[in-house]
Amino acid sequence: MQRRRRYAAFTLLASVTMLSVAVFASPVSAEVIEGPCTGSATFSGPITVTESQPLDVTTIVPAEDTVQYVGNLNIDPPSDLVPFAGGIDVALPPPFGGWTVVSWTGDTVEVSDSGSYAYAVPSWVPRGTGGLKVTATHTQQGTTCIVAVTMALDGSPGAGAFIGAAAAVAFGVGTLGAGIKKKGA
Amino acid sequence: MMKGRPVLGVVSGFFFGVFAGISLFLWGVIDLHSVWLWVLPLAGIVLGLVMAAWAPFGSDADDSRSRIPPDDPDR
Repeated sequence: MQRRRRYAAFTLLASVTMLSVAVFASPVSAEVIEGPCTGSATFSGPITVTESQPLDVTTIVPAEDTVQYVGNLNIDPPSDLVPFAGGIDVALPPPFGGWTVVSWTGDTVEVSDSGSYAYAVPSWVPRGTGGLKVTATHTQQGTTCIVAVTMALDGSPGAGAFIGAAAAVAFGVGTLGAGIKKKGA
Repeated sequence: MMKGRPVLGVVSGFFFGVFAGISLFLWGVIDLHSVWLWVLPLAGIVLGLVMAAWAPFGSDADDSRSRIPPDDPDR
């Protein structure tokens, strides 16, 4: 019986260790970018994000700020109005796809833009989390630009993180409890 | 044959994986688009079933019998 318990403890320890190694040893991936566009966004600090930043680098940005942005499609400007469309998505865990934060559409003769944008993320959005893969897409004159960066909000984990950890421990104990023999088994 | 509690193992294992994944994200260990957020619940279900099939905890009739010395009328 004691030998069985030792085997069970060893197997659990080995499983947790293997899962931990697999979680922490994430592969390095380059930023996905399609098209000739370039751009940057500068947050207070200053923290600057450009189109060449690797995806495995998580940029920590303030929850409330005014961002200075510059974007250029690097294509010849049209002589007349042309349609454009695009948006910004946040990738969710598979199979949920993405959540569109903002989208845009219209007609323009411009191929670049710059300015400032003030934002304030609602307080219910968790801070200090893992990275969010944010993808910006813009299509114009037959050219599609896709730029992805990994971002996270500055701050420390709130009560939700503690509640989640407590729930994980509770259900972990329940999972171990499944290993208690039934009477008569 | 399941000597333990398979239903408890599946349900608890699934939610163990769900909350473990959510906690890892909220504590900044994994990204939101990480495949671990759906791998962990599946791994939890498998772990629960393994625990139910293995059932290493609790009283074992055979083991307890082997530990009790037989009555010795001469003692």
